[in-house]
Amino acid sequence: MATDVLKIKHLSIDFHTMEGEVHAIRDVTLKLHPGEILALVGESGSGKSVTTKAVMQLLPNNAKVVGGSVEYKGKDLLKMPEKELQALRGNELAEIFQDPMTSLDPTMRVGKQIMEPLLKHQKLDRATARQRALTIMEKVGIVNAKQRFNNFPYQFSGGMRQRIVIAMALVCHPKVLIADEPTTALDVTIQSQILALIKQLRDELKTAVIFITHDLGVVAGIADRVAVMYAGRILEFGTVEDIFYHPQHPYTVGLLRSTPTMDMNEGDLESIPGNPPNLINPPAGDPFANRNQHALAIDYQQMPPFFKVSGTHYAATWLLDERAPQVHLTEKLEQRRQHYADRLTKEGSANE
Amino acid sequence: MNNNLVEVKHLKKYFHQGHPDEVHAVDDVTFSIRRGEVFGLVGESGSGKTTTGRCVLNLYQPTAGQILYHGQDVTALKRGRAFKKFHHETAMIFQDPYSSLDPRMAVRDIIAEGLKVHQQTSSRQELDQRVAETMELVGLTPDVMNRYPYEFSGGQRQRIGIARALATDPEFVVADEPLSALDVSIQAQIVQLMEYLKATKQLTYLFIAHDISMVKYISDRIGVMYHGKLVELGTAEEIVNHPLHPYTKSLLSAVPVPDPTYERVRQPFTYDGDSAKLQLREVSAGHYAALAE
Repeated sequence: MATDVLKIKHLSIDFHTMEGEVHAIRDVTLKLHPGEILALVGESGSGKSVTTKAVMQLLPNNAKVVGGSVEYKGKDLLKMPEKELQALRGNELAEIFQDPMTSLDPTMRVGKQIMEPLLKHQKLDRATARQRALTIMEKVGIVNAKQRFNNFPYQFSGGMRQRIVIAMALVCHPKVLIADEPTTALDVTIQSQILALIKQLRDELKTAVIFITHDLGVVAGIADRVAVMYAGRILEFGTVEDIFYHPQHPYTVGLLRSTPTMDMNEGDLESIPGNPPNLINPPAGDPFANRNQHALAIDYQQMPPFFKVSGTHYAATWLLDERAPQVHLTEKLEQRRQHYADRLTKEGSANE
Repeated sequence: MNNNLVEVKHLKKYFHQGHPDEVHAVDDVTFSIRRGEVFGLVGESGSGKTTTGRCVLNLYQPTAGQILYHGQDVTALKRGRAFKKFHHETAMIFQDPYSSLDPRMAVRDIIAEGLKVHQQTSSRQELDQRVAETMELVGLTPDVMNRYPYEFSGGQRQRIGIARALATDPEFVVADEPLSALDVSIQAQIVQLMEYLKATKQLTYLFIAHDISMVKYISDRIGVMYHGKLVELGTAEEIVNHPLHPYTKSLLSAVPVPDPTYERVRQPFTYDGDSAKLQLREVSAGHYAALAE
């Protein structure tokens, strides 16, 4: 097995605010395998973006790394001098942001923006850089790339702008791509095109992707592995099948059950009552305990360790302890899985 | 007796009229909303669904067409008693709970504003009482009344926005993408709240969204908009299970499904046909689509 491209180990980050120290992420450990798409799932404020901002070393000034490391090619990015970081950023480590309306320079022609990393990092001459930029523009699906090269961002639609942002991020063939909610601002029809594009480019360029989202429908379609974050901690991780078909943490189950589907009937939709905890004084135990109807006494006192569910699947919930009572949370999800399996057989036979 | 609370007839709204960049945001849209129903309006950004919603509430002056509320045309209403009554009986919930609440007003004042405008209470105690009741109704504890919007999370802010809409006891509410700025688990909470309020307050909703799975869940009937026109209209079940218009089909095919095995074979397709001059016609009972014969 090839070595991991990126290793985040026991990372903890605090934010200094007027109200006190916010413990934004606590003891986050994550590994990114080469060429995989790892989905980082969680609600706003769960620490998904903070984790990836730490990888890129783009944390705001009031953030402080309290502990841990981010290893890339055997070096700790957290201790790397800014100059070395700049050589990596936009070159080997790239990021796509959520909002394609604000992540492009409105006064600069898009072709020039796509060429920029090539000129800066790879020291190509302008003619070659232009050629490479045109190739990637065609690859991300911009028709008439030659004419569009000299257009400004406002001359493109939202979906097309996001394609340009993706072209910019991938033009240097990065090893790691961070996609922070890249489709949240887009319509569903455009979203499915962008997701297909990210997958296709991953296959061609072998880039490993950390994909941040809170939409589990999107995760099911794009991810190889999934890590679920809540209140600054990772609560569960595994392959996409592990997470969707055998979720262990009550929060993962709750998220799956509150995801709407077209086949739901009145009364099927469930919500998770309550709100996430305040991270100035994070709870000592499982951060989800106060919203969990199956919480055990120990959930309030001690953070559960990761229990091994299978070789690929780990979950931090005391329910997996051998002394815990047996609770069956996933009945509705099993029905849903069966429903889609039936639909597949039906559609499969209809197509023949 | 007519069972339609709202009737939209040949509604048109053009922006920048007469200028080279004239936009036909809504182009001849006709539908009606029955008393007590949730009417879902879906479509991609720029399809005209928000403009339609704003015209319905008389926030935009339509270029042409009529909006009938209780059988009375409200587009002609100017300042006056009928105008005030209309705005008293209707309300709007906005998309973005961050920009739709005045950051310098306390929650109490945000919720009380409508009550003051419509002079629904006679004393300060009564006003506070009404605000507290409304807050409890939407799942907020009244003791946070004197706090400011920045102190609340997105989901709680949306509850404040809903409380503001409901404080004056409206019978018709336009909810314009009330979920899209919220996290999935919070979206479900807000949808459940809206359903509960519909049942307890006998509300009628126009629910505007681009996420067709949530719209399907909450709506009785759905209208699908494309390029300023209504291309399909029918019960939520019919639209989702037996879509007729190619645009509706493409919209449904693009919705991601929370099942990895199914997702691997799902084939989304796009529709970029012209929103031709076709009018809606009844294809089966109660199910209309803009299709050629």
